[in-house]
Amino acid sequence: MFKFLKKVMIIASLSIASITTVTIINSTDNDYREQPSYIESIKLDSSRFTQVDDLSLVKKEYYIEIENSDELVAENDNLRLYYDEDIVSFKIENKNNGYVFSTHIPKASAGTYTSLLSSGIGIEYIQLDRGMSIVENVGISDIAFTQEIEKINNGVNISLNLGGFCSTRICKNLYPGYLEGEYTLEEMQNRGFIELKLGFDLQVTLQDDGIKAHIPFESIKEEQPDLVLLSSIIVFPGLGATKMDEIPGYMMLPDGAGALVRYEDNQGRYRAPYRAQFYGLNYGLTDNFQTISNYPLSMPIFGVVHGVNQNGLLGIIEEGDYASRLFMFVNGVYNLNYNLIFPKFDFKKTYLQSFSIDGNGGDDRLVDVSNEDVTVLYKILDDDYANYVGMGNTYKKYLDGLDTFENLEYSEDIPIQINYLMSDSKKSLLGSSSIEMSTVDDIDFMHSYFLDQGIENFFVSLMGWNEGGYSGHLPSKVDFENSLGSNSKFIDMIRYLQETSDISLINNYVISGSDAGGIQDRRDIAKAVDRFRITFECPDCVYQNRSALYPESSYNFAMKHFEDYQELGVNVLFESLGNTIFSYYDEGYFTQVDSIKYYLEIMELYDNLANYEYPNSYTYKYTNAFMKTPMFNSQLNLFDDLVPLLQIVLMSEMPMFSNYLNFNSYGKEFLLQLVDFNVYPAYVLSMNEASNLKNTDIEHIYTSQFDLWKETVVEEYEYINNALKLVIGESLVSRVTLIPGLVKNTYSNGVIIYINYTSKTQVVDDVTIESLSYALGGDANV
Amino acid sequence: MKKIMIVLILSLLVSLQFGFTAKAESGVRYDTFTISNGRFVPTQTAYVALTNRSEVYGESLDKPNDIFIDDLNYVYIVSTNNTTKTGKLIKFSLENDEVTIFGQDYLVNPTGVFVDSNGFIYIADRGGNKAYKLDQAGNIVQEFTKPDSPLFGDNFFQPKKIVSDNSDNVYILNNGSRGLAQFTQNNEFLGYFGTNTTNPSLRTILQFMFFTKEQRNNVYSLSPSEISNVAIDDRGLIHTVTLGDEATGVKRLNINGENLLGEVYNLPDLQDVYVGPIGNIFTITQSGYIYEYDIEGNLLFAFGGKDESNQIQGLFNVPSAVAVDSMHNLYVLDGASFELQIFTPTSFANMVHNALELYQDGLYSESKDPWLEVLKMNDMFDLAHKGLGNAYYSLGEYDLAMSEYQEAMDRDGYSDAFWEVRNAYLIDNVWILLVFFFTFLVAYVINLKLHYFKYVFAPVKRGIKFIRKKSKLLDESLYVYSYLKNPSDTTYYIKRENRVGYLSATILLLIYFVLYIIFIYNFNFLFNNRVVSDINFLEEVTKIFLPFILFVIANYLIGSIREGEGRFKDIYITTIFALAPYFLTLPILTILSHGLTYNETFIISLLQFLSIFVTVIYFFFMVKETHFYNVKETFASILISFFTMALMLLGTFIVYILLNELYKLIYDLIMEVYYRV
Repeated sequence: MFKFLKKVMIIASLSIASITTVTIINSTDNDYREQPSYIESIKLDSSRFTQVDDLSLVKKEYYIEIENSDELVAENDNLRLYYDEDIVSFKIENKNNGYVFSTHIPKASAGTYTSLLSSGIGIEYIQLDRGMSIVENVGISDIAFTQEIEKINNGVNISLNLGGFCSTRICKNLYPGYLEGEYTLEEMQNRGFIELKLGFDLQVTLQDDGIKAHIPFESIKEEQPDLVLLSSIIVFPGLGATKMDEIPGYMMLPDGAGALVRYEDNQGRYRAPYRAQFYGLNYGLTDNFQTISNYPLSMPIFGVVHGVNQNGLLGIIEEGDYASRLFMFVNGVYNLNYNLIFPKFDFKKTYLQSFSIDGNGGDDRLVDVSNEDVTVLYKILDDDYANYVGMGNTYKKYLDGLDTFENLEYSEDIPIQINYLMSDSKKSLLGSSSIEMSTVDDIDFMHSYFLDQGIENFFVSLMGWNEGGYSGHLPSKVDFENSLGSNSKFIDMIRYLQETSDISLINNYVISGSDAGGIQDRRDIAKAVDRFRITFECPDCVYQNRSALYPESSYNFAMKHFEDYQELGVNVLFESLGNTIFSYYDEGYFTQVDSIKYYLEIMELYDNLANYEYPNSYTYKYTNAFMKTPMFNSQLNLFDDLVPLLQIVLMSEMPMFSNYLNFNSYGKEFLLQLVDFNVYPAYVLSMNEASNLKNTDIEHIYTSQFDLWKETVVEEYEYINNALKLVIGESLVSRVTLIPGLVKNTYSNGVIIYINYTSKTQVVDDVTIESLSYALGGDANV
Repeated sequence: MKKIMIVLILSLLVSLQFGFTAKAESGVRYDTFTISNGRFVPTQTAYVALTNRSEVYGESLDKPNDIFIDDLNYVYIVSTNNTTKTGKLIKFSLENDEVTIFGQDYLVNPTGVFVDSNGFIYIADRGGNKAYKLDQAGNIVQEFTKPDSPLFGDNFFQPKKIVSDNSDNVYILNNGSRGLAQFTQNNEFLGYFGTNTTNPSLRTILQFMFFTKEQRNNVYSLSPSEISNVAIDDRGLIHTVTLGDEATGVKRLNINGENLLGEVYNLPDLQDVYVGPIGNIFTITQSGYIYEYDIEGNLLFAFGGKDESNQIQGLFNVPSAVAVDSMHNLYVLDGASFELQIFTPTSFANMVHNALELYQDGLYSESKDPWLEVLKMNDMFDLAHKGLGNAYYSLGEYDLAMSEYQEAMDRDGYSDAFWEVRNAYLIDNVWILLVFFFTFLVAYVINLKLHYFKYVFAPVKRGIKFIRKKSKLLDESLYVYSYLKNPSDTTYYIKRENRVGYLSATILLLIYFVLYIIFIYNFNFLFNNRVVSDINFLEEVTKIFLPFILFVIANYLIGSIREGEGRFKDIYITTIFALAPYFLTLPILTILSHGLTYNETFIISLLQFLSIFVTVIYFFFMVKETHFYNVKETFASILISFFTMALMLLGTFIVYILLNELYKLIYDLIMEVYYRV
């Protein structure tokens, strides 16, 4: 009877989730060193946590209206698509609630950005006769252009021909006179006038739940290839833009785990926009573009929410993502009053070609960075989907539709990743000497310990299994370090581990160490576009050079070793592969797209036999698990929230493991964050003390000794498992921050996990959550 | 300290370059380091950046200049409004949203704030050329103005920073002056305190010696570096930091103004100093690095960095002040972004502070478990090893203490623990020693009568003789003993009768080298200041063989023009023989070093000195005998040989540089052709 009552109460509390009340009990946990209230409040308000949503409605006065100049070009059950040919801009009307998104900002007033934001599309071009300077952020409404509009199924195809453009203010003032013949072309050119003679096609089609913009690479026309070249196209710069804090909501960036930037009046605090290249740095091409973000944008998406749980927009870059950058402006940046988020697609870049051995000086040169089409999908979100959880789930559904994910067999308990550190080396009198951290027998011993403790589900990886040890010796062929045990012992150990776990050998086929076997410098070490080798030097290291391999060489090595892995029946944990792409020179110039082609072939070959560290989205299809899952974002001042966007996308599709918890300096708070983000624990362990690693290149592993960690590993695993085993294979339905530091996660099976980061005990929905701990609710107790 | 900077910068580069391969995610945008064996090594994040604020409870910070936190968790910030050219003091509570503003009507450009244990607030107003003492209600209790005392001189009175100690002295750091101006509570100037001294470099000494008076005046002024900031701890001891001083940038002054801290790791651009709740010293540099030391000046953590774009949390543009509250939260003001950044300690940092607190209170054995916790988190944390060593030492577990001290490279601790271990060993085994000693004594006494030792040694001698006869090589190598007994005669045999060949001498040289390598690896770490892992084979080869070969060549050349008798071969062989005393002492030193503590250091030093001294004498006679010189000629020959050696090195160096430039030129030419085509 009591159980039944409880169930009823839970259902009742679920149904009135929106009017949840939180009771705070003023007692503090002993573990928690009580901080002054000011510190606790700024901590929970900081961008290290998710903030409480402002649920107010978007005021009708800020709705964008459909104008007379907007022509209806397509319509379906949910949406209407309008086109304004004067400024090449589109409007999408959500028929369910009448909300309109526009690809430009009506009556924009934004200084030098006015023309860009007043147009649906913008370009950047390179002037070859003017020292290869790039003219940035040009809106099409500032260019004399012609277009051919062709109706296609569900949309339009617009062929654009771009003509004269004034790059200076004087030129703009004189332009009407020029049209009337008062000034000659030459006079105008001296004042900054240029005939671009560029062109491309833009196809925009209406989809069930959004629109698709497509620019075929083939359609790009450059009629004066020795004068003007198209460097980038800016797609829909004003889409989703808001002014100051007029509209409640936020912008979403896939930076690290995920970041939100809320719409608020920043009073000019921020001076520079957020900008980053999708999929991380291009080691092979050093141009002027810099990012201050320390995570790559690992998924090609971005989004806006106009009114939480009201209207949202998720941009998914389908093509052209390898050479695209994301820009986000908050109000105040460059004195603009707008909040903007848009991608730029690059086709050509300039770089400095040095002619001297020390890399100084040189000439500007031009290089192609992409010859791919550009396709961006915009999903219109409303109601429950108009928030970051909805965005994550929408992208998840999108990836699933592409057959990215395989059906997993779920077990009862969550898996744990254990990385056994076997050997490394340090400098000795002559060359280097090997350091044993765990022998084959040690690993058997450690693994049996965990089995005895009742852990059943493992992802085991071996680090430094190879001849010579971990540092400096990867990529390595399948050749075990003899000092740790004989080959047959190694094989026995692998067989033993295989009985209970996924086991993989750590290897790196992208970045090679200076003592890696079989590498021929001329053949294998990649040259950057400026023809200098892509080598990172570390004079104080044991192995002083780390170099990028030509993608073709990576492929050859991976091919050659494949059979050996198969014979052993062992998987590979790839470092660098799956999160690195770069341009390179190999008797010709190759783009990032060329590098990814080789890498995808490796991944295809090792499909289902590999795990990856922090893989980019193109790797999801091939990985069994996500290692080193980011749990933070770049901690930029302009970020307001940390959200588990990446985790929402991948939840239930593959196990996600944290970075090694040996290095967790945040204590219990971080364990809670793992529960909150649905990420599984990972540890690096060795039999011998970590201080043996002093003076090696992996000194940053300053704690790993099994004897010190064995109990903690089991305790922490159980703590996390007790919550997360209830939601294995489930997706997140909603994630609400009730008060700062108190999060309520509702999963698709009705289980609710409450996470209390505060120093006070909290009571929600009749569930008591002690300070710094989690509690289960919903269907968990049924 | 430049090396430290390089390490810090490097680590940033590493994380940018191939960041996602090996390093663990820290959740903050800076790396945290600690000291391990004198090197910076990465450690867990100690402090997390929480926020950047330009206001507190709605009150704008304007341009915040200085910050102080009292025991009741009230924060005091003095700031300047650059548009109205007025200053203010903001006082706010960390426990509730209480905020008060003082002094808006009279402060001009306040740059220093301090609150004493009675709650009196001291403000240094640089722009107003005054300092103030206020009560908690904001009433001015006392003003400090420019003293008329001749001691003060005709400096401007621009109070930059201000503190007051337990005995009611007020110390004002005056802009541009070299020390702290000491006042009574009643605005009486007492004199300067804590003035920095100058540390003349070799260069300045040489300049001082050789320059004329005018030149000296022009070239440099021997004035000490300026104190950049000041803080006071619970015991009333004044801490200062000095700009541009690498060695003693951070000082703790006793009542006589003498520095109580030794040399601490710091960067030369120190901006502010603050003493935390358990006496920990915090400094911040203009380049944006925060260093935390324990009460003894051992570096615990170094972290932070520069971000001129003001976009990254936890990095600074121009940090101007740092303060710490009772929970070890750090408050840092930035003079360029006009913001207050707040850092909170991680549970790892709390763990370290906890252990440290026990340790500093002398509760060594209680601190054992906390230190073990810290070491679980970071096995390379020197201070934790040292703390644990002390804990074991106080528990009488000297063996364990020894190994912890060795891990921490704490030689004093190691020596003490070893003394205890050795003592225990000696007590346990003293009877064996006594038995040996008396047996030998008895045997010796009997031998005096019976001479039976010869029956024991004669066969050995015969054996050696036999082997020497059989093996020419061995015989020649062992000739070194004869040489050491009688250099002049043996030199004759070497010269005239080719007593020794090249090969055997070379073998001897190689044996020296092996002895040397064994020595540098196995010399007890108590006396061995070398870091074994840094030993480079090529470097050691160069160190031993290069001077030798250079000398032999130089001396031969000089000998041949200065009528020396020695042939090349003679010089080669006798030089090797003459060096024997030094190298043959090395194994003795190696073995002996393992039985000695710091108390017996003199034995090692004496032995080392003797071996070198004897070698020098042999060396001198070697040259003299080999060339058949008189004393004066010998001196000349040796000196000229050394000079020649230097010239040979220099010549090689110049040729190397020229060749290198030529190589670069040709390479660049080829590159240019290759890339342009």
